[in-house]
Amino acid sequence: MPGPLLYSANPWISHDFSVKYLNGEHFVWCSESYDPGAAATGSASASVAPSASPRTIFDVLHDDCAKEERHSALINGYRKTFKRLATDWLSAGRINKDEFDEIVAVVKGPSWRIWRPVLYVIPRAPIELAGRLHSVPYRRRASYGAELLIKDLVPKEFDLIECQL
Amino acid sequence: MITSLSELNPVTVAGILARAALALHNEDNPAAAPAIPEERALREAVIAKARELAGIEPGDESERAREVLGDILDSQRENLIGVTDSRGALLRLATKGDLPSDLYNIDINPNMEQTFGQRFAREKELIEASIRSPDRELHCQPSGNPENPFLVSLFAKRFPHDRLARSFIMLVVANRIGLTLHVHQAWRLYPDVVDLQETSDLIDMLKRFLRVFGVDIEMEGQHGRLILLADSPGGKPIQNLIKVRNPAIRGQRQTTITLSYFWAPANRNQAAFVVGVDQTKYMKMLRSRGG
Repeated sequence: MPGPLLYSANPWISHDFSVKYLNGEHFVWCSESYDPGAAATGSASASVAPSASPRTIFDVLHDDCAKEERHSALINGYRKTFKRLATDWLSAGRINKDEFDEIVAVVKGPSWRIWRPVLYVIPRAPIELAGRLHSVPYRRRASYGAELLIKDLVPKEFDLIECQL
Repeated sequence: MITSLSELNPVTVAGILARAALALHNEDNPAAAPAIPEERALREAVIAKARELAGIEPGDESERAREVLGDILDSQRENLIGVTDSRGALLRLATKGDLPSDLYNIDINPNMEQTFGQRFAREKELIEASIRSPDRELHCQPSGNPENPFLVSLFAKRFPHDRLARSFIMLVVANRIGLTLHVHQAWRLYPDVVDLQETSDLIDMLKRFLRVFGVDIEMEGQHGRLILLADSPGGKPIQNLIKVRNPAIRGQRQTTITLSYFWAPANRNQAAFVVGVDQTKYMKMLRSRGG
């Protein structure tokens, strides 16, 4: 039985870019459980892979930021992803060259604060009723457990819990 | 470069390569969805070419193979968009108050070193930590003119201590000029000394501090413990215009009053965040807390 909330852990800069450059539109991967690792054995939540667990993502980002881990696979992966996304947004006309340069300069820069984790806590019902909650196809999941996608989440639809380092 | 892409606009090609790299990791990412006709065929071609360049077998879908292929597509893409003006981009963000605070250079006013003497090194550490990793921050927006003295940022950070009486919030006020934060004010706010209940923002926090340690000042018809913005007509030196209002305080030999304000060299007619602080009272309180 799915709970009333969905959880998504992200670096703070992801939220910032969405607000600053994409009219607040967030693309989020989310989970029915904040900590699938603590879910009852055999439950649907328990079969979500650690790499898709909001708690794991949150903890890794927190630890890597706190230790200023320059070899962080997660943060370096985000760096590449944001440069690719910015290129897509530029080619689609969603941002201009100045904004593209701002995104690239920030993600390439030595800031650790931008990678600190934030947690989106999302009431499920309104998103699901509007048909905006998508299940990730099984072949694309990290494991058997459910992984969910929202392509157009806006700030008024979730609470943001911020982590201070 | 794939030959069939050569006729397309470079930014369009960069988009195709970026979406191809995104699709390698996650086809369901909306940003990986093809944006132009025949993009799927072009994508297959660029990935095939990248495999050939890297010597990766067509069936190899391993994580490492996807990383290598993504890096090849990225390197081709980066040549297409042109030079990234990183400094210009960071300066724009700084002017808007959108630059991550740990990307600023920090310059602390030499007067603070004089004031704190041997304690300055500790205070400097606290100031830098408050800016690099604040709990709360506020960046006053300018009118669009980067020389405007309203380019002021405030930062607050809690410094907990085992002994409650030594726990405090550091409040730092700095002027943004280019990529440097010029720190003029940094105050420790002890919750049992300064009422911090339900502060609405960091300017409110500064006002609460000034209720306890501030002195009334006046400048060109405005008065109070905090003057957010004051005009200096005729370009008169601002320090000559600020006066301490309470003659009793002004006359006390043992009391040092610090007047702090921000102004920009190109705009001598305005001062921002003008405060008067009873430095004697503040330093006495700090000593009592072991600060």
